[in-house]
Amino acid sequence: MAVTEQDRDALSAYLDGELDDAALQRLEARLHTDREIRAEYETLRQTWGLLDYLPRAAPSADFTSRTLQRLAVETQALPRPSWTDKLRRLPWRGLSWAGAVLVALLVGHMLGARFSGPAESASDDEALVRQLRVIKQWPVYQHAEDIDFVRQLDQPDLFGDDSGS
Amino acid sequence: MALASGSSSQMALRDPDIRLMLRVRDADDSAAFADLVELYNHRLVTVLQHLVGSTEEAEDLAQEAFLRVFRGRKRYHPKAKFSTWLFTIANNLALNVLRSRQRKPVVPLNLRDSGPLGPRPQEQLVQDRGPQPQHQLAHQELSGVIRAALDTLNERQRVAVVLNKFEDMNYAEIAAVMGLTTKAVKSLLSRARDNLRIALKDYVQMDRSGEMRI
Repeated sequence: MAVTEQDRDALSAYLDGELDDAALQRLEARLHTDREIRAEYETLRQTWGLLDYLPRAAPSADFTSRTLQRLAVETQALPRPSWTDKLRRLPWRGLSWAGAVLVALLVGHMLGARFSGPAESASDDEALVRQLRVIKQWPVYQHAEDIDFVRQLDQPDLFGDDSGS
Repeated sequence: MALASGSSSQMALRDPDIRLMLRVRDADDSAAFADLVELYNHRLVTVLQHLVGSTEEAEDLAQEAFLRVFRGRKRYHPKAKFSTWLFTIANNLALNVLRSRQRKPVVPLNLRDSGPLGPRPQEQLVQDRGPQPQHQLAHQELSGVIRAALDTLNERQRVAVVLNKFEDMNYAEIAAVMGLTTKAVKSLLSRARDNLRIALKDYVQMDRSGEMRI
């Protein structure tokens, strides 16, 4: 019986030990009775065995140390790029707007302080002028016990007509 | 989550390589990483050399694979054997190299190996035919012939063959590394065996009973 593609699939899986029990029994029965399938099996098995002739590469003796050195260089170099990356990732647009607003507030405050300083001192002077009478009379007012008494002193009829005569 | 962490810890207990990798992940333990490099460098370079052909390139790729393991350590979750993860990374690197070669073919320097002025690997196989080539060819020459036969496989067949033959991986493990189903792996290996059978048929001789004659 000619060997089919399906047979080769089964033989390949058989060689790899990947056939299920039922398929394994069917194939082994055929291997006993069918010379062609047995020859195909032997060809595939021996072809696979030829791969053992491929040279096995060995890494250089310093492979591990070279790998660790490269790792050390990489991990030492990591912080710097990560900082610049972090800087690059900052929301510069938003920050520049916030900075501009901050500068504007600062300038406004400085200008306000510059122009509001004399105004405040002017209003202080006005208050002094308004209260000048009280300040002048302050030594007398200190003897008054309360403000109502001082107000009564200001009334012209408190002392009758004697004051004027 | 508890189930996942439970199965991870069970897996870690069974696989000492996973325990090493967890030390790398959790404590940036460079000694554990060095142990992993020491444990796997030979196997990784062997597999990569069979895939890309050159030992120097295989070493560079192996080194890059290990560095990628370290860089990706914080994302590591032990779902399978550590070797499966490592060989998945290595496989991706090797496939990148092979595909890049297909886009930018390397100009052959040795006219005997390939190229328009010399015989191609398959032509070389035909030229080297003889009545009993295994007796006539020196070991090194036979290696060259088999290497050429391996190169006739497509990249996925080659990866499957190399992992099966040299890493002794079963279909499920190969499927995990290559991101395929086990059925696809079975088919890949069957096609690969058939291609190798054709490429190397003159190096395997059978007698009438179906037994091999050396």
